[in-house]
Formats: sequence, structure tokens, C-alpha cells
Amino acid sequence: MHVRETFPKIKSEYIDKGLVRYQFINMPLRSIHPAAQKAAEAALCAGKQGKFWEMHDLLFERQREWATQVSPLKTFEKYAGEIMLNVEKFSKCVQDGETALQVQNDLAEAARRGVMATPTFFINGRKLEGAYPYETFKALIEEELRK
Amino acid sequence: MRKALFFVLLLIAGACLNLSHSSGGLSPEGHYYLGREHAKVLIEEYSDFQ
Repeated sequence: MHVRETFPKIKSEYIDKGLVRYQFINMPLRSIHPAAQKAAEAALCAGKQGKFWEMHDLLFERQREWATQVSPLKTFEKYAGEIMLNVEKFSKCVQDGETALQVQNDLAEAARRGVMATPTFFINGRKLEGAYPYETFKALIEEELRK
Repeated sequence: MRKALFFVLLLIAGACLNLSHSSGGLSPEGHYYLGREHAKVLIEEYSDFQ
């Protein structure tokens, strides 16, 4: 719900207007989502070629395609090709775990901040756990903008 | 001529402003973000892709 419905509205109403900075932090729930770790690494590998958000969108859009795969690398490579990445470099990055440490750092940060579930949001430090409709975000953002 | 130059400058300034609004990047902590670096509101999303 968040990626398809809420986020596009936040983007057009606040991010694109320069009012909000929106940051993504990886928190793969490895015990229940076995492919999530590699997906996070793949997104960061795409980021190394300047296309983190393009891969982010594809991974969410086509979650059903790769989520149950034991080894989703081939599928990620297909996505990399679609967003015009250098697939060879991308593939090496994922296979060698070049971004695994960053995912580990993100997980450590999440633990430090007491994040227990996904998605969890912090709006200027105010914690919001779970997926909420756009109106909830709008109210909190407007409150922060008025300060 | 002066008027035309003024409008060209205005267009360039507008484009720059627009670019800065829709920009994004990588934070020192290694997090990708969208939007202006110094926007008044920061939303941090902790999420997995699955």
C-alpha cells in the first residue's frame, strides 16, 4: 500500500516541492523473508550506478516474481538490464556482497533506534510504525512544516 | 534584446530551482534519499523489499 498509494502522493506534494527529504534505510527481515537481504544488496548495487530508486521501484512492483526464489540473482540481473545498468558490474557487486556491509550497518542502526517491524517511519524523529494512509503522513508533515 | 536575455535567465533560474527540488543523493551514512538535502522535514523509512 505504501509504495503504490501513499509514497507517490508524498513525492508529488512534498518531496518534489523541496519540502521533504525522504530517506530509505534497509531493514531486511531475514528470518521470515529469505530473499530480502539480497534484494537490499541489489538495490544498493544499483545505487552504485546511480539507479537505486529505479531498482527500488522494480523490486517492490515485482515482489511476487522474486520473493520465493531460492537464488533471485538472475531475476535481479534482468531488472538491472531493464533499467540500463551495466549488468556485469551489477552482477559482480551482488555476487561479491559488495554492499552487504552497508545493509549490516542499516540493520544495526534500525536496532539502535528500536525499529522492530517494517515499514517503520520517522518524521523529523517522530516514530510511526506500520503502513498508514497518505492523510496520516500529510497531517504529520504539515505539523512539522508549521513549526 | 535585454528583455529576451532577462527571460532566458529567468528560465535557467527556474530550471535550477526545479532541479534542486527533485534532486536526491546518498547521505554520509550511506542512505539513498530523494528531495532537497536541507528540506524542513525528514522522513526516514525502514523497510525491506519483501
